[in-house]
Amino acid sequence: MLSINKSVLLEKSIRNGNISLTRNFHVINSPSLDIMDWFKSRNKMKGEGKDTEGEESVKIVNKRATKDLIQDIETRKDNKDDTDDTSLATHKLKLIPENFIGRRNNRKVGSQNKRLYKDAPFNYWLNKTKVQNETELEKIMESLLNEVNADKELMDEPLPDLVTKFKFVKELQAKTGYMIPDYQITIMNTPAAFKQYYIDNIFSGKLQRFKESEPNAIHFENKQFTAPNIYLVNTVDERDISGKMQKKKYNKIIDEVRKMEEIRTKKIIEEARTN
Amino acid sequence: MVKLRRYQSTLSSLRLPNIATPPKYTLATLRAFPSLEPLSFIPVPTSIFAVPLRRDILWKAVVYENDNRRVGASNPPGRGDVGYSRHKLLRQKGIGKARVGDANSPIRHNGGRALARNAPNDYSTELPKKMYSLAMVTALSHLYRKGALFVIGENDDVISSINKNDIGILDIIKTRSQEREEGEKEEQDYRSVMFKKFIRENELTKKRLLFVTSKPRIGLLNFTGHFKKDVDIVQQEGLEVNDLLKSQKVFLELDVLKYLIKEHGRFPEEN
Repeated sequence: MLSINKSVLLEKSIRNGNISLTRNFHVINSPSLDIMDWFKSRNKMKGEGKDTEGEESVKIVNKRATKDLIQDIETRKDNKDDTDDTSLATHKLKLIPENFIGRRNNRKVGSQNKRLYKDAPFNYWLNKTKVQNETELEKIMESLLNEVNADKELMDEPLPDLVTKFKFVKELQAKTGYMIPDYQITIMNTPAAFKQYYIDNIFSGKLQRFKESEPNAIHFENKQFTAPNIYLVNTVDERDISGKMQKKKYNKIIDEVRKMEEIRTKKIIEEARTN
Repeated sequence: MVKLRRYQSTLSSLRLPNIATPPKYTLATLRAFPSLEPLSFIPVPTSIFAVPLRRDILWKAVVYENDNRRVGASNPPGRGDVGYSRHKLLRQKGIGKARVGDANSPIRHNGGRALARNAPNDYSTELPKKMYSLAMVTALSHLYRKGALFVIGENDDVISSINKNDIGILDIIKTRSQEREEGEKEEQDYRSVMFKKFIRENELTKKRLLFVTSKPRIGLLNFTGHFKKDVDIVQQEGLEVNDLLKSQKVFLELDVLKYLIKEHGRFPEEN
């Protein structure tokens, strides 16, 4: 630890720009799968084996002479009863992922991770079924205002204190499934204002359309223009049809065409046979 | 004759009785990690989270940081370093071509570099500390207005208690629910998947995230390696305006916020 004087000096020098702070961005590389990595993993496995089997197996390894081992290999003697690590049986390489350099048992790891991910405890405080329309929101707000001991008529009244506001806002977020930014929480004081926020941003689809790469994008709709000579191409409604949906529709049409063609060819073949 | 009289600004409020006093603080929600469940509100001065956006000041700070980041290790060859003869390539007159000097001249394609320097080249520039602080709080305010700033932590007067699966710092450790209890099954280490769960459950996939911690958080460093392209972790002393502007969501610890207020508040020397 730094002494107080040293830390003060350090702080001053940092402020003056004399010392450039080492920035602690992390640079952990993804697991490299090179040859040394494989040896490390083998050593680790052997180390784990030692704990379970004890020291006896190690002693047996030392007892065996190299000459015998070479003889065994040369004569290709299949000594299955021998539990010795250096027996011929162990020299037959099993074709499992652990024995391949540069590969890991990804399938096994993947399934393990999936199970871990599923079982990992997590505090799900937001409702997964998000609020869909205004009537649902009104019901939620009504129940919340009852909890806060306020009447429905007090929708336009500011929330009395910060604790009440916190409880109201937290429950509102939890039940509706949407998080409200702190800035909005600061500027909104009445339940009616929160309701209006949901109407303007969530039910209108503004939040869903928002793209961080195009924060100031303007979205026109055909409804906005009543004149008959104005027609919008590539509107929001059209863009809402995702590529996935388009592909699905396209594949469906192609499938139908293929089926029709099959029927047609069948018919032609049958006609040719009868004739 | 009408005599115009100037009033001091302190008196002006009396002249305009209905004028609204500007707010003094904004609200920041204290959240738990990794669920981001709200625990309490804290008031943050408007001089930190409600500063108007000044792109020019942000620009100055970014240029200042990028200048100071330059190593200046280049050694371009100058006229003297290229090594050609000082012999004049063509005579001055009578050729019908442009005047030329020797082969070392910077105007020739294989000549030396004009105004060549030698390493170390110092490209660092200066910026008044107040302006840099203003840039920092401007960046913070911008993130706050965007809804991209999350304060993690718990203080003494939290309104709702913290869940057993959560913690009040930005770290990935074994939470209370993961610790072994008597008579229960052997403990399971979920730390390797916790960050993935945090990202997925909070809809932060493929977003550039910045975590600013008050102390080194080994767990967070170790278990975010898989997401290192999208996730930056920096300690409070090393935080730069560039980092704030480049990230889409920023997660600060409560102690970091206190540090930033102390360092970059409007009048830090008075605190």
